[in-house]
Amino acid sequence: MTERIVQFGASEHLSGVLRNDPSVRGRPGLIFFNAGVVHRIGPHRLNVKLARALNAPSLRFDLSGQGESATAEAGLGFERQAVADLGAAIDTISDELDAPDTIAIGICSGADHAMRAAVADPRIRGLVLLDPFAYPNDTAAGADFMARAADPDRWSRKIRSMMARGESVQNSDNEEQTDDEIDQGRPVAPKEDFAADLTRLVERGVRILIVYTGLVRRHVSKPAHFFQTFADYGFDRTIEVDAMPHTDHTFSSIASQEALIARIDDWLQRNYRSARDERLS
Amino acid sequence: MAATPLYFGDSDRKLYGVFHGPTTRRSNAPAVLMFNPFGEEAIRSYRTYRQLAERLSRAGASVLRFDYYGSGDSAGDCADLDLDGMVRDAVMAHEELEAMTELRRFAWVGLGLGGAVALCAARATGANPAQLFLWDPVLNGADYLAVLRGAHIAALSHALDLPASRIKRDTPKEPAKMTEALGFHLSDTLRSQLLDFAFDDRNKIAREICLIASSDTSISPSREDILRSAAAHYRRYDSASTAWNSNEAFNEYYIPTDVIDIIVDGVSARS
Repeated sequence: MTERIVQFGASEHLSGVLRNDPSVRGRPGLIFFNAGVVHRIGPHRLNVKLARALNAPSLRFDLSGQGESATAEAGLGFERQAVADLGAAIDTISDELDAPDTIAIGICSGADHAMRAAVADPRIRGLVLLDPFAYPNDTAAGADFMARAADPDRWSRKIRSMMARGESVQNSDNEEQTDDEIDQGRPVAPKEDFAADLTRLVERGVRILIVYTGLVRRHVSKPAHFFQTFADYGFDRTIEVDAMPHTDHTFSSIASQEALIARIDDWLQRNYRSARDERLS
Repeated sequence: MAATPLYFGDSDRKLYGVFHGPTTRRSNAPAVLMFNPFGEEAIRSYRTYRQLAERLSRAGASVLRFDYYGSGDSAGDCADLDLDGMVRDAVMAHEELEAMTELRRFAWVGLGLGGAVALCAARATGANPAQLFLWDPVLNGADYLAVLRGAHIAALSHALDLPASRIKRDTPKEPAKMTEALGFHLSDTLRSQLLDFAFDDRNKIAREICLIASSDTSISPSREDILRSAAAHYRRYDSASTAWNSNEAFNEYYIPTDVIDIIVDGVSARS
C-alpha cells in the first residue's frame, strides 16, 4: 500500500494519511479533511474512496481537535484554526509530494473551510466544493414545489400522516425543507460575500468545481439555477457547477458515490493533465 | 502517552490502528482490544470509541483500536470486507497488541458486528480474554441483515426526504439480497457469511462476559442464555443512554458516558 501516517502542524498535533505513488507524480495533490462531524475518512468512507480512485497524490487529515488530531495550542477560533490547519496540510503536501498544484476538496462545512483557506492561501490552485452555501432561487423553488405536488407517494404519505394525527388539510405542514435543513445549521455567508470570494479566486486562476446535491434542491437543482442566482458575476464562463438533485447530502448510495468519483475524475483530467500525461498522450 | 496511529499487518493487508499507551501505572492493568462495528456504524461510534480508549488509557490500560481490511484507513476496498477477514484481522490486531505490550491479560470490547467478530475470534484462537464486553452485539447474522435493511430504508428516506415506500421499492425485499447498506457494500461473501452466523457455542470462550444493551436493542432470551454459558462469569448492563447510532447522538456529538463508565470500571475492577 502506498499510504503512510503523517503527523504535522506547528506542534505536530495534526494527524493524517499521505498517499503517494511513483505513478501519480506530477499530478495535483489533493487534500481531504473532515466533513462536519465525520472524521477524516469522510461520510461513508468517501474521502478514502476518492483518494484511491482519483489516481493522484493526496493527504487526508483531521482538523485540530477532531478525529486523531489534538487540539491546537494557538487558541484561534474554529474557522481561523481550520484555515491554519489547511495551510499546514499544504506545507506537508509541498514537502512530501511532487505535486505542482494543490486542490482542496470539502464537503458541507468542509467546503466552507476549503473556500476560506483558498482565499487566504494562493498555493491552493483548485477547489472541489460539495454542497457549499446555496442561495434562494425562484426557478429552483418552483420546480421543487411542482415535483412535490405531482408526486403521488408524497400525497399518500401526507394523508396517512394527517389521519394518524387527526388533522385537517389546513393544519398540515407543507413538508417543505426548512432553511436550517438546507444550510445544515451552519451560518450562511451573505450572497454578495460568497460571490466576491468566488470572483477573487477565479481572478487568481483557481479552478473550481461545485457539486450540489438534493439537499439544496429548493435553491439549486440544475447548474442554470446557480448561474441565474449569480447572473451579475459571469460564473457560467469560469466555474463548473453540477447538480445531483436525486442524491442525498452525504452520497449514501454506492451509485451516487461512483457518479461523484467519475465527475471529479473527469474534471481533474480536463483541468490538470500532468506533463507526464501530456508526454504519454 | 499520546495516542499513536500506526499501520500493522501483512504487506498485502495493511491495517490502520491507533495505540493508546497507559497514562498512569497500574499493576495488572490489561491490554484492551476494541472491535469496530460495520460500515456507517463504525463512523457513528468513532468518537465514542476514541473517548473510551482515552478513558481506559487514563485508567492504566494499553488500548488498540483498528480498522478492518476494507474499512476506515486500512487497505482494501469496501467490497473486500467480509466476516472471516474481519476475524483474521482481529487476531492479527490481538497479536500486535500482545507484541507491543508484552501483556498476557486481555479485555476485548466489541460493538455491533464487532461483537460477533470478537466472539468468532475468541472461538477461533482460544485467546480466552479475561473480559469480553459485548455492546449491542450481533448474535444472528440474518437478523442483522434485516436490521440493516430497515436502517437503510429509514436513513435514505430521511436523507432524500422521500417517502419510505419509494426507498422500499428500490431496495431488495429480502435482506439477504441487499448489495449495500447505509453507503457501504454488502458483498456476496459478507452476506453469505452473515447468513451462516448465529452464535450458538456454549463452550467457554472468556472468563467474564459483560453484555451491554442499549435501550433500543432487543436480544432474545435464548441467545442470551447461550452467551451466559460461554463464560465463567456473566453480567448484563442495560443502558438508558440515547442510542449510540441514532441521528441525534451522531449530530449532537453525544457520548453514552454510562456505557464508558461501565467498561472502564469493569476493566479497572479486575486490575
